[in-house]
Amino acid sequence: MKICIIGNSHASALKLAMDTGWSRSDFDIDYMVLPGGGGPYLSREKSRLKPRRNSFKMASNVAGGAEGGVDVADYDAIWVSGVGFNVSLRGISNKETHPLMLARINTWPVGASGLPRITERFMRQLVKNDIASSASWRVCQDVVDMGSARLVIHPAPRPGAAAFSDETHPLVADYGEKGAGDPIREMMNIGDAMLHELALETDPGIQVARYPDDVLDDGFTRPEYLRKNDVLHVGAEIGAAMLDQMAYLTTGPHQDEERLSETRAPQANLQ
Amino acid sequence: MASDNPYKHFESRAFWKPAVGSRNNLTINELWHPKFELSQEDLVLTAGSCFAQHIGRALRQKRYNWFIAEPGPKASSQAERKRNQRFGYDVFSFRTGNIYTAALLKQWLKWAIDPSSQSTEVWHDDGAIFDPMRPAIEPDGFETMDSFLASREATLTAMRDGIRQAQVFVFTMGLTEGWENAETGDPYAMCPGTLAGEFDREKHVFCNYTHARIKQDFEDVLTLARSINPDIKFLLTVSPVPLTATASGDHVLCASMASKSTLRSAAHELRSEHEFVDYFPSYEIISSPAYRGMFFEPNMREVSPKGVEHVMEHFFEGQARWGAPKKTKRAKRERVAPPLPQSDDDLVCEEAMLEAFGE
Repeated sequence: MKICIIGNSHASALKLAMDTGWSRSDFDIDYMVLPGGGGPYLSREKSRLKPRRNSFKMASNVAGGAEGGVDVADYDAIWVSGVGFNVSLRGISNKETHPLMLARINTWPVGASGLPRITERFMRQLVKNDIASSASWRVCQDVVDMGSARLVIHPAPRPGAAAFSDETHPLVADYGEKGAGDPIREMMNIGDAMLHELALETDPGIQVARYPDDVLDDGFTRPEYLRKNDVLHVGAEIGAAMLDQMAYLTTGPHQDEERLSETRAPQANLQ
Repeated sequence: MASDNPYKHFESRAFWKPAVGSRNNLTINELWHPKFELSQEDLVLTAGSCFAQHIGRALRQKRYNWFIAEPGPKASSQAERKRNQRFGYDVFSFRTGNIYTAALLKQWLKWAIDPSSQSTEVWHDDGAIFDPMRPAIEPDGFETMDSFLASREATLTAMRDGIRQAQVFVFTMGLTEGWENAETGDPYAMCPGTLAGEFDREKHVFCNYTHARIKQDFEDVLTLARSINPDIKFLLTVSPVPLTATASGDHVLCASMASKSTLRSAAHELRSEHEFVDYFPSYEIISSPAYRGMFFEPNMREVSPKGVEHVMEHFFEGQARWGAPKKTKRAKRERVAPPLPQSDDDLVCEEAMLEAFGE
C-alpha cells in the first residue's frame, strides 16, 4: 500500500521509528512534513497538496515534494500527523484566539484574568472550533473532500507535565495555588473528545489513532516517552506504537460500529 | 370668538392634523422628547423582551456605549458572534435571555442583591439541567448543578456590577402573561414544557399580570436597582410584537391588545411619577394606525428591519435634541464585546418557540 504521512513536527516520532527499524513490507511510506504548531499550511490544487509557505523548511522524500507537494491520488491512504487541540503554553501564548485565552470553564477556580466563565459544553464548542480551524484539520478536510485515499489521523501527543511547570506564566499563575494541572488536563480530555467528534461528523470513515494508555501519567505524557529536552514531542518508541496502530487502521476492518464502541487497535507493549 | 385657552399655546406636535393627519407618515417627527441626555460616554444596559435586542445593537452601531456586563468569549467573525449569541452572550447586557415581564426582572434583581434568596429550582430534560429563569441560554442545558450554580452566580454578579457602573438601564416590557411556581410564586421565563421542563398543572400556574401588579413590580425594580446605584436612570419601551400565543382564553388579537395596552399604561405612569424614568415610544411607531401596519412582516407579528430602523431613527432624532452626542472619553468598564452587525436572523426570540407547541 502506498502511504503518505503529511504533518508537522509530531511526524518526527514516526520518522524516528522508521529510521530505527519499524517497517512493514506491504507499506511503501512517503512523507511531507512542514513544522508549525497548528499543522502544515498547504494549499490544494486538484489532487495535489502543496506548501503555501516556508517550503524551504519542508522535509519530504517525494521527488520535488518541497516545491510541488504530493499528489493525494497517488496514495491508498494519507496519515495526517499532529492533529488536535494544541494546549502547550507556547501555542496558547502565541494565539489570542486559543480557547484558554478566550474563556474559562465556570467550575474552575476564579482567577484574576477576568475571562468569561462559560459552561463546559460551550468550552467544548470553542475547542472543537479551534481544532476545525487548524491547518492540520484543513489537510484532513482536503483529503476527505478528494475522496480517493483513506484518512488516518495521528493525533498530536499530550505534552509532558513539565510543559506547565512555569509558575510565572500568566495562564498558570492565574489558577493560583492549586496550579493549572487540573484545568489543563480537563482541556486535553475535551480536545481528544472533540477531535473524535469532529472526525465522526466529517466522515465516519476517518480513523483516529489512539495513544497507548500507559503513555500517560495523570493525563500528561510520561517523561520517559518524551524526547530529550523536549516537553512536547514523543520519541521513536511511541512513534513505532502509533505506526503499528495506524497500519492496522489502514488495512483493518475498521467498521464504523467498531469505532463507535471505541474498540481499539492492538497496541505495542511499551514496558 | 374663542378666548385664550391652553391649547392656543401648544406646539403643533400636540395637534393631530399638523402632527399626523396632514403628513406622510414617514415624516412624523418629534415623537420623543427625552427627559435625559444619553451621551456616548454613558454606560447603557439593555434587557427585556426580544425587541430589546434591537436597541443594544443600534446603540452600538451609533457608537453609544452599550454595556455588556457579562460578555462572552471574544468573537471576531460573524460565525463566532452567532456562536456566542446561541449561548446567550452579547444579546443583552446580562446573560438572562429574554425577560418578558416586570415580575421576572424584579426577581433577577432581588437575587442579584441577595443571591442566598435565589431559587435553585431546575428543569430536567434528556438528562440535562435547564434554568427555568432562562431556559434558552444553554442550548443543550447544563451538565451539572455545579455548572448551573456557577453560571447563575456569574450572571447575578454581572447584574450587580453592571447596575453599579451604568448610567441608564433600558428595559423593554414584553408581556403581561406569564407562568409562576404555584408554591413559591417565582415567575418563570416561559411556560414549563415549551422549551424545556415538564408542565404540571398542580405546580405551574398561569398569571395575567394586572396593571397594578406590573406597576408595583416595576416600582420594586426601581427601588432595588437604585439601592445599588442611586443615580441610575431607566428608559422604558414596550415591545410592539404581538403575542405568539395566549393562555388567557381570549382571542390572541384581543389578548395582545389588552397586554400591550396594560404595559403601555404602566410605563406611562412610571414615567409620569419618576423624574429618572423615561419612556421611548417604539410601540407607537410600529403599532399606531398612523403607520398602517407598514412595519410589520406579512405575518403581522414580526417587525421588519425597516421598522426597526425607523424606530431607532426616532430614538436618535430625539436624543439629537440634546445636541450632537458627546464624544468624550468613555467611562472605564471591564469588558465590552465588539460591534455586531444588525440582522433579524440573529434575534433570539424564545417566545417564538411557542409556535411549535401552539397547534
